[in-house]
Amino acid sequence: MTASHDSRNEELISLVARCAIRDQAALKTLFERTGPYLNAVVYRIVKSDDVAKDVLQEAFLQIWNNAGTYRPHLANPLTWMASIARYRALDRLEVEQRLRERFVSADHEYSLDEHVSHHNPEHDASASQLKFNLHRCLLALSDNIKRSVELAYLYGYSREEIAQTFSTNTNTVKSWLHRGAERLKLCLETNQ
Amino acid sequence: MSGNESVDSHLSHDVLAFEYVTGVLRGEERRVFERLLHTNDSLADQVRFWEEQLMQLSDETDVRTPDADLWKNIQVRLNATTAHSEPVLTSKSLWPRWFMWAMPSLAVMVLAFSFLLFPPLKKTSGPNADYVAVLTDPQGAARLTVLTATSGKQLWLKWDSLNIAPEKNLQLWAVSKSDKQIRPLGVFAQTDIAQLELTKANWRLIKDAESLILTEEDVGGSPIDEPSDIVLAKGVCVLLAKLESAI
Repeated sequence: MTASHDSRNEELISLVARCAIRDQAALKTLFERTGPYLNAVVYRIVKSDDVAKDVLQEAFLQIWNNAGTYRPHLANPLTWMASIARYRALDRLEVEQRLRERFVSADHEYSLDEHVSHHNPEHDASASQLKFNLHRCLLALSDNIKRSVELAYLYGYSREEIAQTFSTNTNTVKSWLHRGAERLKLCLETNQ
Repeated sequence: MSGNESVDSHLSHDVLAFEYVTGVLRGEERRVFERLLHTNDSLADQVRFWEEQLMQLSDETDVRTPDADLWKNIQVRLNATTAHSEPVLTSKSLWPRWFMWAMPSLAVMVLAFSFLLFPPLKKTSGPNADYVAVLTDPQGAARLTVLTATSGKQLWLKWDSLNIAPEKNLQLWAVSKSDKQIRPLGVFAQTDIAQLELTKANWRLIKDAESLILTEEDVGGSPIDEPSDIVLAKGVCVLLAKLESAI
């Protein structure tokens, strides 16, 4: 972790702590500091500004309500908040049950490739050892597994949507993801 | 999948946690997993592991400005909720009501706060806190959090945006529970001191303290061993061990 990363974390932890004692100004600062990032996380999944707005609102209300349960020795503050935002986005996807067309879009395919190409382990190492390890371990997986993980985590793809993307069946995707989880865990633990 | 058993038995917890965090567990599978998560600490650990690891997939510099009205909407929702339920710290002064706060609820908040403010991400590196006080300013903003750790041998200090005037020091005081006397605990020229060794006498003062206060004093601390009128922050002192067993 870099010094600036640690200092950012400390600031976020303090802000979450103040939310726990019902300091609205702290939530506002938290919103200002993390809202744009969390909005991007949510938007990637729900693909709609209106829906992202609703989801982010729910996420910040949950951050406010759950601030007292946050434990900094168990989770990085941004991870804790991003997880809340992602789960609320996934809930929303389920509620809406709407067909998403993004995975057939050529533009989107391009952006995925672009995204993957940004994962340069040497560059990431300077930002975070965790990031470096994850990307090194992902690179050791087959391309289909690696991209399935990214599509699910970053873009909220279901197994069925991943299967459509790769023109395969859902059971194959399940098997990719199971294998991916096992190999990733082994690799990450070995490199810790 | 139709129940806990099916979620539990098909796959290792590791794989299920991975599927939950990536988001491919949907519908009933997801709900069953979430129920299981509430009662299974090891599963919760696995989920946290994957949340932390997979978080590295997303680029923190990839941002999207939220809608301009969003904060206002959140604020409206917060105020609608809190108007009927709980106190909210705002810019209005809470100073006069300081010690009117109900002790039990404040103690619980302080406990939560204490866990939050010392942020080691490794489970073993945090202070094993005994007593804690969150000292807040007249506007209710936390300025200093004080923890005693390792059975009173050390004082941990977490400072927050507190400037010391030129040629002034800060002094920390303990207000006794038993005789209400205010006694000095330490003088600080800078706010970058994170840990202090505690003398036995100071440890006794903290054990007996109902609250701590932070004042501005001349260099070297109050010459008469009494706090000045410039009280920068104060906070109730709570014994964590008792609280933890009470919660």
